[in-house]
Amino acid sequence: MTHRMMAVFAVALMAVPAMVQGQSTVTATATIDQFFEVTGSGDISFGDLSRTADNVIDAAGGTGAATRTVSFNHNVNVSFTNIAANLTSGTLTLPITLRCAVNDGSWGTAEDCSGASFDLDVGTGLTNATLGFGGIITEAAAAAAVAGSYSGSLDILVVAR
Amino acid sequence: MRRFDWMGGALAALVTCLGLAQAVPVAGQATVTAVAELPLASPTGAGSRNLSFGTIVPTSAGPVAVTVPAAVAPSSASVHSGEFRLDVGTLRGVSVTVDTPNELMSAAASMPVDYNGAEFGAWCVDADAGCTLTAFNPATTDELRVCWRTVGSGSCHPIQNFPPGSVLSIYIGGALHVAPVQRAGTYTGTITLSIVQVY
Repeated sequence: MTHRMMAVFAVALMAVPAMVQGQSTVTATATIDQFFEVTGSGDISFGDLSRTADNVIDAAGGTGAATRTVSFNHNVNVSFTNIAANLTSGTLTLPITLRCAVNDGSWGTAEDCSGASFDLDVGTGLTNATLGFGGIITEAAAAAAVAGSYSGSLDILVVAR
Repeated sequence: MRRFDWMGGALAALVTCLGLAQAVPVAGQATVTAVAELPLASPTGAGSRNLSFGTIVPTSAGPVAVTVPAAVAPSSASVHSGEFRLDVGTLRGVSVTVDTPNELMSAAASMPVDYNGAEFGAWCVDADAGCTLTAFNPATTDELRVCWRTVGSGSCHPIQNFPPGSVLSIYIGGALHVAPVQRAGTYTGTITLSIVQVY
């Protein structure tokens, strides 16, 4: 009797169809385009120049320095063009050496903007770095200049790398 | 003498039995039964089109939601829902589950994506006229059961199968949430569809 019951049970198991299943996949894809922008305002402010000492503004966070924020979502290089070698007041000129620095976590050493080139690496998302601008107007240059209000500028160039 | 008579009776009985045995026909006959189980056809198919959100130009103004509806026709060459095509011919029905990623990943960043909406899921069977889409919400649909015909309880009809060659198409869209500003790059994730035959 026992044998007969086991046989019936076995047949019943065989009658159940095997589980049939499948699996497939597709890939979800999105591409984020490259983005950067430079924001901020304010000038390098020397105030009244000294004729008896060099007039120096440290680009790396010094008093009177100007800053800009560069935001980027990919690695970039920052350099500078159209750098004024002289501030002007009408036809008058005042020699200056513009200085640039970058803070991407801490201030780096300031250097002449004419040769400065900063490689900035993106983090996991939008990344910000601060650019600092200062300059040097020597005692001699100030002493030789005519009194007046002088100004000059430089352009910031950001390119993907 | 009496003993002889008894043995003689026994011998006579034995001869009789032998005679009966010789009466059975010499030819034999037996039956062998061939047994085979033919399971219903396995549902087969594959992902035939990736879900693509295209190229997104980021902005620093705020988060951007990029949505791609579940649709047969692509929105553009680079923007379209994902498509699975499954051969369900001769099946009574199938149970489908869709496993979707919560994030798309690049080498160094991620981006959230969700599928919560009836516009992000749709299916149709091309044996139906026009393959009319039926919407479903992938985020809230644990199991999508597709039958050729149903009975009153909603179960698949026990003897009515999809016509041979029927193809079940399933479309998956989604909503991509782009941070201000998302890191540049290509982000990917995998949507996995599992299908089980319904008996």
